[in-house]
Amino acid sequence: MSDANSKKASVKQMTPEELEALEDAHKVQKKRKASAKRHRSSGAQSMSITSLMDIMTILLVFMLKNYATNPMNVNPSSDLNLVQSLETQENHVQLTSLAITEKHILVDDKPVVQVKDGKVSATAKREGEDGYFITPLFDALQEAADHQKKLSQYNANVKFTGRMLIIGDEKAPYRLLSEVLYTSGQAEFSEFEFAVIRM
Amino acid sequence: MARTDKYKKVVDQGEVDLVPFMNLLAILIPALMISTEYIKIATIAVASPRIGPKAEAVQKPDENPPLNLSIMLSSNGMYIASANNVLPGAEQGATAQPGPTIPKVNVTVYRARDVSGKVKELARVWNYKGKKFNLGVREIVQEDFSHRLELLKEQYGSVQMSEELDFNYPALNEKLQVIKKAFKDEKQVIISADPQIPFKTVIRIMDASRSFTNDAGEKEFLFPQVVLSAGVV
Repeated sequence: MSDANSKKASVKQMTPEELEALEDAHKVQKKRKASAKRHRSSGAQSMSITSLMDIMTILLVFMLKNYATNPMNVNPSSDLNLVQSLETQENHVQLTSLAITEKHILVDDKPVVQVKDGKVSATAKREGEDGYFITPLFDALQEAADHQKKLSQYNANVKFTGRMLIIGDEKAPYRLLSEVLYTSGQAEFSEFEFAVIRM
Repeated sequence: MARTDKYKKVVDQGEVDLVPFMNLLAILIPALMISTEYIKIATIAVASPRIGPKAEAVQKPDENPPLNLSIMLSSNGMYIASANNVLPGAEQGATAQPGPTIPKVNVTVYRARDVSGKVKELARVWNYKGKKFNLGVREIVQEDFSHRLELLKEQYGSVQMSEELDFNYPALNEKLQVIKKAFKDEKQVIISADPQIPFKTVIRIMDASRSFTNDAGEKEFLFPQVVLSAGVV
């Protein structure tokens, strides 16, 4: 503060020539500073990002791999809340999936039958209201089973095991579940894997 | 002069412009991070009695008839029964007892309103013989739970606590431990339920009948092979 005051005082006492000279000196100084700044900033730009790139590339590859090898594609949504469970095994096989949501039953992500209040309408069942056999579901499952069997004829790695992934909403009633299991049994699926969230 | 210009150009091209690639990475990585699952989804293997055309149930002739342990869920509790054997603890005039083997108990339910105003259930705590459990049979440490409750209170503003009737999974687990002691080689349990019992409860029963932690702190299996039966057809 006192330094600035003294500067002001000295400015007052200067002659015009001296002032001009001082201004020139200031200009030169400014230029130097600016150029130094430019140099510095260009220096910052050429900062080595190679290591960062390495990290990013490794992350990218890792994530892509992770993304591609996950066989279970379960998308919990508002009408499909999975149950939390303990001590379960992770599944690494691609299975035919059957989801029981609050509104639909889906086979391999394609809606097959509508569900209302935890029930399939009587018209979709072979024996009506009290029946266990859900006809559209059976058709879809049999198609899936036939597809797998056909594949297994040409590809030795594919085998029809009769296993199925069941993704059930936590509120799905037991009655609906047993209807689905019965229908799947009719379509030659008899081993089930219930998808749950591991806690 | 021309030559130096040319030379300069070559030098400029020497540095690859990495900015577009960086942009790509910066977009791709968050996108992949979103799509990767943080929720671990796992499966429980379940069989159903073979009803389909593939029915080739080859039963080995066995001197010991299978236990055929079954757990039936009804709206007021669980019934545990065996088709071929008398279960331990059921000798003393069990036939006269009309109620379920394990009746429902009061559990503490914690609920709160989420952002959209919907009431959400946060936790359910079973209090059995002085121990506390959540998720049916997972024992919880009191300090951990009260800490979690504090966090939830901070997150939701207020947490409501209420008592509700629910199935007594810890008691089921204990009962099955007694049965397992008498029938060491049995692994199978048949689960059936009333029509309105939700899927969640069935899974909880499977959890409760799968394993337990013994006194030495090791996990021991109870009846991990689950067969779902259609109940009363």
